[in-house]
Amino acid sequence: MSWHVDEPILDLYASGTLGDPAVYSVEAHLVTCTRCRGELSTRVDESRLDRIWVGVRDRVDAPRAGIVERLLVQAGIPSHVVRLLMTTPSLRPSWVVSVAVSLAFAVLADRLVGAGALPFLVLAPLVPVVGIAAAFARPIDPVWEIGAATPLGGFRLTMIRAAAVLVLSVALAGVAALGLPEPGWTLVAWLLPSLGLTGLTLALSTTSAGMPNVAGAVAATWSVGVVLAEWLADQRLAAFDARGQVLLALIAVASIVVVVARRDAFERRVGA
Amino acid sequence: MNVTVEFTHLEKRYGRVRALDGVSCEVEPLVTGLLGPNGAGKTTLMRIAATVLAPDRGSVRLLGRDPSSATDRVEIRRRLGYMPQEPGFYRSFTTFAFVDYVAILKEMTDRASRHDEVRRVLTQVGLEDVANRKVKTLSGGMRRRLALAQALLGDPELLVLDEPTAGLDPEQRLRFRELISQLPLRTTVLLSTHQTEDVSALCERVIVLAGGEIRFDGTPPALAVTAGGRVWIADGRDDAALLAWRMGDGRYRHVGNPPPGATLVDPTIDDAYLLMVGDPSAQEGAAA
Repeated sequence: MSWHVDEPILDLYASGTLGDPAVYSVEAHLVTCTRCRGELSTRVDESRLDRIWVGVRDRVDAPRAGIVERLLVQAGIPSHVVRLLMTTPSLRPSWVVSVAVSLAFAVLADRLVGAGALPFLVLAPLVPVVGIAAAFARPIDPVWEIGAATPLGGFRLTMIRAAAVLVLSVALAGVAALGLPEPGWTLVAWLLPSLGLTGLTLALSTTSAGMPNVAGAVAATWSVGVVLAEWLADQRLAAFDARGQVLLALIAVASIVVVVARRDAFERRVGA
Repeated sequence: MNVTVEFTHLEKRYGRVRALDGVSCEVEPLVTGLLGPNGAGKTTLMRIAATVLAPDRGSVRLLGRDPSSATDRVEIRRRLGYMPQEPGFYRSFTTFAFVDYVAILKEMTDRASRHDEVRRVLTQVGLEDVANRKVKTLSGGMRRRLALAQALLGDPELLVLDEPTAGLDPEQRLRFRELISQLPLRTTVLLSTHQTEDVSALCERVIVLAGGEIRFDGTPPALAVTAGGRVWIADGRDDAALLAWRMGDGRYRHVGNPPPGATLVDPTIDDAYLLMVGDPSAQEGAAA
């Protein structure tokens, strides 16, 4: 080798303060010069190297956040909470598409048949109920058994997922409602029922009946109840009038109280 | 005696099937092997130890706490690592992302320290080079090691491993033994297995479970001794034996009631286990 890097230049390079053109020249030389590499190794701050290495390794290994994940983090949700949400079965794209299509069909039914928004108003509050049941259905969540043995896998995970499913369901239903032929008050008539039925599902799941069974019972009771209310009152959409809205609001509030009071039930064991 | 796991008169039924029938034992910070045939109740007991399943009757104490109390259950889970018999994965996740997810469930919310811990356990099980590969591309043995890695997060005091070596090749099985032997001495390891070699190589204590009942509870050498006088070698096969097979030297090794004048040999854990779960008269002897 005909020349070697001057020691002051090596010092600047080791500290990361050498200017760009000189850096390229030094690096090209280092590739072929063992002596200069040896000199450099005595000048480098090891703790700085460790920090750089950890940063590189983390960039390579760490899970890549998708666009939805990045948006949620930017919205202020802690990154570890967002990571938990990304595994919720009923927040997967396939599920979201299925829900959107179902709601769209309900709106379409009203437009084509003139059902007075009934199909949509029955379906929309059930979307979060079914979504929450799916979020915890063992056949759908393959990691349920590992999660069940962790400290966060009970009440906190349930609430995080339930809140996310509810928010997404409300957003999808809200958009779909804009397509109703005569929106009016039906634009929001499904909202309190959504909250009430979701709360009721969570509250009843604190019993030994199990989330999927409870969700099924709530869905069936709601569907039958809407039809029954209309028949008994001889009034279109009777379940969604002022009395119905107040009742479902009270159910929502009572359910929240029950869920908080019985939060220990979410730290459940199978068969308990 | 520092008891970390205590089962008292545990019973568990699935319909008409009694998975556990009055199981009682105490476990210390040792490596304890749970040996038994399919349907013995091993996985049921493992799930109870991992706070995933509740018994129908009986009491459990884990790490000094009662898992029937929700508060205690959460506290136990903070100090517990569990590898199920059939672990499920999010197949589209990378190896790193999956372990990272479980680390979050174990309340490791600081990203930097969590990622350090994830790398540590992946290195422990030899999966550091496939950290970026998706789980669905991993072989069966690698997925088993991945399941083990998530159980090791946070250096748990109680490690419940259900069939940890199933599907591992001989080298991987040896590496697993090395890993277990390097765990901190305060760790209570409860592992269920079909492999008697794992028991003899790793376990300081072995519990034989069959038909929902404990048939033996002691050290591996003591288990082998229970087959004393019931293992013999002959030039030809004796059909009266419980089991007989031809060895590499052409002679037959028999397990069962030896004929008069038989050449007895020292029994192994395999012999004792076979007699214990396959021979009714041996079961009576073990219970006595």
